Amino acid sequence: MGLTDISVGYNPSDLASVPKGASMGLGCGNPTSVADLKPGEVVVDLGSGGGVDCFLAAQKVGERGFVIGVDMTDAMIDKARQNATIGGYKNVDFRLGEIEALPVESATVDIVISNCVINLAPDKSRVFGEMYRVLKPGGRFSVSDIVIKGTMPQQLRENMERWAGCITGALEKNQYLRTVKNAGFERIEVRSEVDYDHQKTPEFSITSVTVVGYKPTNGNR
Amino acid sequence: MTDRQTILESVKSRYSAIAKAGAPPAAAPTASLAIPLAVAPTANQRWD
Repeated sequence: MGLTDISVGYNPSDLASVPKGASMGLGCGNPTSVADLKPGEVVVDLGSGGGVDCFLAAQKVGERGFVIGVDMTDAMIDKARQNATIGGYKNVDFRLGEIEALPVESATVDIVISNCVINLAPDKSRVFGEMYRVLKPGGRFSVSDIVIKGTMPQQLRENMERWAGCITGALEKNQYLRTVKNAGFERIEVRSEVDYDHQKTPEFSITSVTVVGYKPTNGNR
Repeated sequence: MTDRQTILESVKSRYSAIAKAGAPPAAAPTASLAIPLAVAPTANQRWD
């Protein structure tokens, strides 16, 4: 646990309750804190990393609930599975896959969470479309992510080191929210917003947002 | 325009290395390493 984890919204006691090494300081918010998770719910975490958000969710949904962590790197899946074994979690499954093509059945999930990962995807529309597909009608999402305010120069957009560092792949804030809406979600709300001076330029700045939204109750497509 | 495969390979490479190291490199240009300035007073904005 480091200052970074606390500064983005994790409670120290929550972090102490998960296996050491599950949190690697890669988040930009705490999506489970506003997810209002209930016992028995099925959760999917996009880009589960070392598993910290899955383990926090697993504690809240209990043994009648279930948490699926999806990550596209073998090394992260291996690490998360080791952490699950260390923590004795029986209600968590880590699956290798891309968030643009989730290895999850349609309309089986109560809530999708994600922490600082969607900005890494080449096609955010596909990600939100997949979130919509796997959610049950009336299901919801709670995601923390990086967005920008202003306009990022195209030359910087093509910097792959910074894309992988959660900067240059980020959408402009309103474009991000429109992308969510265009996927079919409703009652979209920005629950928290934190501005960073990191990488700030006269043209643009970086902000982390935690956003919630719902799939309509008649939303079967 | 950056192609999809280049993005995916860059992301996989970085996060595979982080998984093996257990933490991101200290000097990495990662947004999550930034220091929050302030929580914006406009939180809880309804957007749609």
